[in-house]
Amino acid sequence: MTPSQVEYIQDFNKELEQLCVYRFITRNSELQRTACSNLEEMLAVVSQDKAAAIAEGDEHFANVLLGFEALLSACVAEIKMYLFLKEDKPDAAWTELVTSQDGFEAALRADRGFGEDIARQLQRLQKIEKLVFPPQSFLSTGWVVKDEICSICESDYEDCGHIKGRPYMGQFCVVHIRPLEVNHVAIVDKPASKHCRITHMKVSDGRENRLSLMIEPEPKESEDDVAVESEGKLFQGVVATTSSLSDG
Amino acid sequence: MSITVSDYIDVKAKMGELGCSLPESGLTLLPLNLDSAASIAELRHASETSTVRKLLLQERLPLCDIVERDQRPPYIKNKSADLVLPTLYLSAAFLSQNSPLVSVALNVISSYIYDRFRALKPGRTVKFDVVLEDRESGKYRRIAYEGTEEGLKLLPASIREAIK
Repeated sequence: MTPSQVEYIQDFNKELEQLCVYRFITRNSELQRTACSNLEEMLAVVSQDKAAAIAEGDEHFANVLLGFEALLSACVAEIKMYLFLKEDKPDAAWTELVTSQDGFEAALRADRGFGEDIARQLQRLQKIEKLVFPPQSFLSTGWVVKDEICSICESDYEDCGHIKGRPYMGQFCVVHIRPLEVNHVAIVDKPASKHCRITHMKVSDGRENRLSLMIEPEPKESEDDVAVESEGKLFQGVVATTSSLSDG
Repeated sequence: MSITVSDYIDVKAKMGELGCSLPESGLTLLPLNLDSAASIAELRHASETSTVRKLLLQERLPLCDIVERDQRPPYIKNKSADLVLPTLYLSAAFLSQNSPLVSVALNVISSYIYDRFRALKPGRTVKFDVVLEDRESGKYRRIAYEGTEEGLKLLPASIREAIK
């Protein structure tokens, strides 16, 4: 790593630390919105710098910046989670919580330099998940898949040299899958994606939101929603998101 | 964490019944449902098979395919947090001639699991089966592992014990 890259990292850490003080629910919402804007501006700059590192063929620094992008996205999502909680929007808050957790996980994978502090941030979010949100019932879909396409080289994943989940020149290797059929849908404790969960329980006058316990009117059918029967009750939930057709 | 050892079907006979190649000289990744599939078309690989296959090949380990490229079974992709690895088959011939490579293969797989789990939420488990051919008895044993990446360290000892 060059001295200027070391300096870049130190400056980044300083700037991020100043904005991380808004990652508490008690902070003023307007200040938090400003912090989100500032973090998103930082993200745009980091993405430009990553593009420059890629153009120079500096894979290590490109991967460090990939980690910075993940960190910034995680921090934005965490602050948005607090904003949604204060706005009485628990489902949106849950989505941001999971996005934030995924962001910190991605940072850990981007470069070995992201270590203990990120692991602590993940633990912190896991505690928030347990303390702030009620226990969730997660859904897992099993697909039968014939074709797997590598996101890095866009060739058949079986034939290329990339390994899913690993960073390559500022990008994670993700496998895009083409399912032949759905094998099953199951309720699981440990899902691949916490976005996939039971969101509502059917009741006589509508559906009960599993986070807020509010009775809501039936919405128009969504492709991603599914009805699941368990213990004589009918539940609705998300079984797939756009990322469900990717692996890694 | 659990490691269970049990009898397994006659792999050679099953391969012949299905019309698959007979793996002898190298490591082989078996489909999850080899014991129950009635035809090649019914075979299903574990979700991590293509990744494990690449990792072993990148270490220049000898790997045998049971079917031609265009017949390779589809994968079962469970969108669950647990990691389901393919069944690793070790023929008696391979075990007698290349036993050090078994440790290399297990290390490659362990490193991959460690890397995957390092960045993932806690509480995730790995499922990994090894099937061995016993040269003397001609029988097949399955060692089924389920637990964290830490417990995988105990698997080589279980394999050695099963070979005895």
